Amino acid sequence: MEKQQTPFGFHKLIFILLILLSVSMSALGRDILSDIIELKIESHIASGGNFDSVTVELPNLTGKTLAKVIEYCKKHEESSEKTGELSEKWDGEFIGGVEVGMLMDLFLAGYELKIKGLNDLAASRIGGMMLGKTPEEIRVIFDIKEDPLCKKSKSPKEGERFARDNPWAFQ
Amino acid sequence: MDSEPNKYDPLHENPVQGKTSDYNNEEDRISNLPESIMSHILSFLPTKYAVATTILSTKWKSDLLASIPNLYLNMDDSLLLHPKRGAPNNSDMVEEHKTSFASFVYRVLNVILENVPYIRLLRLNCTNDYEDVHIIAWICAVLSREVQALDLKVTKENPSLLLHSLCGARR
Repeated sequence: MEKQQTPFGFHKLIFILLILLSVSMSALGRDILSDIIELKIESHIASGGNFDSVTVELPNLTGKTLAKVIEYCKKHEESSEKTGELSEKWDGEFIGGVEVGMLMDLFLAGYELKIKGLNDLAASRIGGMMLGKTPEEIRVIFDIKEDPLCKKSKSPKEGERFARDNPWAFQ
Repeated sequence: MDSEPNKYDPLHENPVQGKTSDYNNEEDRISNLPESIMSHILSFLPTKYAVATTILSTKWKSDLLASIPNLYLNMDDSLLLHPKRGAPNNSDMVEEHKTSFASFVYRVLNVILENVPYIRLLRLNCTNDYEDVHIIAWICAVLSREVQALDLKVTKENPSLLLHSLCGARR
């Protein structure tokens, strides 16, 4: 009896998930959603999980981040339907207008949701913010901590030595 | 030839926005990313700045650059980290700048990228006149591995010898 229920439970679950997701996040596009679900289920099965209890966890996104992701996907879906071209100007304004915290969220969301365009756009913006900055300036922008606890791997002295060995990188 | 991964050009970019409440939670998110994701950010930076991130903290390891797939090297001796100080303007400073840049290129190709078998693109821009032996040694160092494309801009008073030598530079 249980064997018969298993596939039914599985399909029903996926069906409900798809409905729920397509209602709440239709703007993300079915392709992206089904990719995520497929990947999660594959890894669930690969790790020996059973069909009765498939849970599809979506990446941990805040509503604010999700709204931005949806805005990005919507725009790109629209512009690829209309002209086949994506607006670079729009991309620049979109990513240039967000704060550092949101930028990191979008970068990771693009990575986790496998939205390559968004992931690349955010990575290139993060790179752009480091461009031409001294290490001190970069540390301030991204709250990067010099970790004095890890004396073994790179003490301040080792940092100095690296700077001395590669002077042009810091000129 | 110009097929960098980013459509959006961070060089022509809005100034960095001030830090905001989103990102003052004392959390160094960027340094705690998995290495493959950090190297993705570095892939959008000219090699000079990518190498300079090594001294941000211990989390920014010097082998991040070598872990970038499809590595795109961009070495340009006109890039300055402190543009306000101005470009070197007397002959001693120019010589020092040249020596420093030359040893940087050697270090990147022979030490930092020692075990990297494939380079997608090397873009070398020399605004100063470097000795032929250096330029040929750099090119040979790149050609000793698999490289898809070379983009060389060199300033030479007498280019004929270099051109002649380059025609013989094969793997």
